[in-house]
Amino acid sequence: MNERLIRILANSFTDILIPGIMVTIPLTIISFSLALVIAVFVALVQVANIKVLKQIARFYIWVIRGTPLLVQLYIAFFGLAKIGIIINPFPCAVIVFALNEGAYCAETIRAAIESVSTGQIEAGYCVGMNYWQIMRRIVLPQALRTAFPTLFNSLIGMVKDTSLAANITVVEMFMTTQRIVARTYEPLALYIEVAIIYLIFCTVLTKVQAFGEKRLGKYLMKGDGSSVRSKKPKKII
Amino acid sequence: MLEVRNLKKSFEKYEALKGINITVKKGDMIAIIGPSGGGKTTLLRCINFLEKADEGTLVFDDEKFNLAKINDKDIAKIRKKTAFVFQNYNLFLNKTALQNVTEGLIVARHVNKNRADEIGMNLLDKVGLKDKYNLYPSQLSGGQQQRVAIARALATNPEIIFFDEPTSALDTELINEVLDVMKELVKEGITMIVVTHELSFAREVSNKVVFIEDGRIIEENNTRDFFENPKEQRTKEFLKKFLNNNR
Repeated sequence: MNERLIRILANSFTDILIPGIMVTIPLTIISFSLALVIAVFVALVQVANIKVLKQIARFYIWVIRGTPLLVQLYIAFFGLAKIGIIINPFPCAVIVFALNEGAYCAETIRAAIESVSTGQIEAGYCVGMNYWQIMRRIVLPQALRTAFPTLFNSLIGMVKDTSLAANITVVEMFMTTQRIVARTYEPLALYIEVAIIYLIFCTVLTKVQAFGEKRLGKYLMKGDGSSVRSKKPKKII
Repeated sequence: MLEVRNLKKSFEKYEALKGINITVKKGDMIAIIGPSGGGKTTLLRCINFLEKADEGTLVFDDEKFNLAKINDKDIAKIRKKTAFVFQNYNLFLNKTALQNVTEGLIVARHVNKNRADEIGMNLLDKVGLKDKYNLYPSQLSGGQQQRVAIARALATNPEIIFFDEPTSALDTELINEVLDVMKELVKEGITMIVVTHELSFAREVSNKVVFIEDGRIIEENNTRDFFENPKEQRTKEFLKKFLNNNR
């Protein structure tokens, strides 16, 4: 590696990292939080079988899952502008990412809710709780634990998907890199550099996931400290 | 105190209950026995609205309800005075033993947490789980879980407790620890209906036995006469095997 390239990489590292911290991370966190709220709501509407809302929920999931994220971004940013609805790039990206991820997470959470045994729901009724009390206190906490790894999968996916926001002029990590490449003509080195920064972000999240699973899974521990979900038979000798 | 009249229930085309009448007086311990698939559990579930009956009347504390048309408000009202113990415990898996017992008090009856904890700990002591307050169901044995479930049922001070085969999921050694707790409750005069396959237990502690087969009551009588002088041929056959084993 020549000296010039090393200098470019060193200088660009902070140039790329700063929009990463200022744009990519907030974009991910805000979008994903909103997505979770949407997902829980959409999942509950389906599980509770609320007539009209359930149909709207199914329609929403059908449309979102059946169309590319990039196309959704283009419709929201360039398309809507055509009919006078102009949204700034960053909030526009937040809305699209939240709606998109919300549909996927809703399915994750719905499946997790359905995995909680109906016996516990019956027991809840028998001690005098109503449906929503049972949902909030018994079913959802267990469902979220079950859904946690899959939801984290979605979160990690979203960190990388935010790079698509470059297409609607959000100056995040990837767009910043593109600009530096245009100036320096070092696509290979610089794109690898930004890839590594994404990798670092996701590695941190992976660690957080492991920690979170342990914390949330307290109730799954057996007497000997192993998890009831552990599929590996214990060594006897 | 509780009376069921002409209770009928079908699943698709299969008639599970073909018109059941039962009267429960305060302090009664009624054992419902009979072969599997006869409708015992369905009967209990219909009385507590876990299944919707097709027809029938429930009289509870002198109030009359149509079982097929009962509304949610009445269901909630009756459920506040009853409790249910399930065959497979159905403890809340994300709650500790103590939280399982106090949940209904705190959430459904708005008892403050300190008072609820006090009640919960007393009941867990009573069922012999003094040192298990903070363990989760996954850390308890089947017998211990069922005893937590019984404590949970007692917590709300119900007028009647329904037991649906409370020992069927347990192995022989653990059965007794649960039955012993139930015997205590009978001594205290708690009203209960128990669906059970434990005939010797039924004989020892119940004051009335109802024999159900094929969705009908074949025979019902006070416990002594039921076991010593069964009237129906079918009852005699059913009891013969059991009595032979217990000579």
